[in-house]
Amino acid sequence: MRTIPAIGILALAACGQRSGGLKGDEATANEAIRQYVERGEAAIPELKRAAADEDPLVRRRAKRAIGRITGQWGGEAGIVWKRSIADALGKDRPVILLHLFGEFDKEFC
Amino acid sequence: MTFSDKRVVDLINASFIPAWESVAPVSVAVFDLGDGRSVRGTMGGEIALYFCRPDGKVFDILPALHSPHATYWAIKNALDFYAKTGATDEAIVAHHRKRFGEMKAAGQGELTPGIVRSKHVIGVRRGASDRGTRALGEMLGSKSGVGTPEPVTVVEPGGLDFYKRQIHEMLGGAKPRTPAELKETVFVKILEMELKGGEFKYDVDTLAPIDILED
Repeated sequence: MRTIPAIGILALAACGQRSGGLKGDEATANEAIRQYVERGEAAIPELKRAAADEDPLVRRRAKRAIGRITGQWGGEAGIVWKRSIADALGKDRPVILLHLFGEFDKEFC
Repeated sequence: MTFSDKRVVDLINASFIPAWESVAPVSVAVFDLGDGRSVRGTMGGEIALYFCRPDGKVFDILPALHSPHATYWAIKNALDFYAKTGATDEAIVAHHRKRFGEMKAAGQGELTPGIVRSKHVIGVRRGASDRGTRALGEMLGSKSGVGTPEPVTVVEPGGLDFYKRQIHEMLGGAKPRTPAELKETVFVKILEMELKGGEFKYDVDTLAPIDILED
């Protein structure tokens, strides 16, 4: 019989909390979003599933979290945008800079 | 949808550091219908895509929103130019000066009847006597607004060349500059869009919506 290490159980519990958190009240959802953002790109697969949830509120919250991580509202596509050109300069590649009205990581930009 | 298109996404991820900046808040029009009821709509706004060297100097620009296909090729062409020339100051100026000359000689990027009509419709709306009507016109013409049966914003095929010609003229006429130095010209002069945003409230009685719907 295989056993799951205690740390794995804790991780699974935390994961379930975050996912469930998106269904909770505003404060709980905000905390869940904060945790997702802290995990960064690693959280995106889980958030993509939540972005397809049958509950529109969960979908919107998942997209908000994805937006904060990727810099693009509902940005499931896979581009992780820097928030300003200053953050993108001096690297080994050219920069592609999008100028727009509103915030690209918010709904109705 | 352009920045969700797989080919565009893969090209950007493989070759660029992507970044965005807001040039102004999104404009939101609120029409007060009375009795606590209101209609809200975003007026959208134009976009511009700058291709910059790692030091921040612009070597090409794609103004306005275009189809994923057109956007992909604009990115690919910019990338090829960068790979071939290193986008030195001299190469940037020479490239755009040459392209502007070619387009001018071929009559490319000149105002087509379709563009003239679109600009006329936009001009009429912007020149409307009351602010509410102008706002409703912007909403109807907005790419992210409530939609309209006919295109009123200048986009490809005529629009892309129309904009590119102006970009070639601008970038071929001076030493390379940063997006911050160019944005006023790109938005206000080329895209004809003021860099203003925020929430605007209107009394619905001031509207002349029938004129706009008839357009």
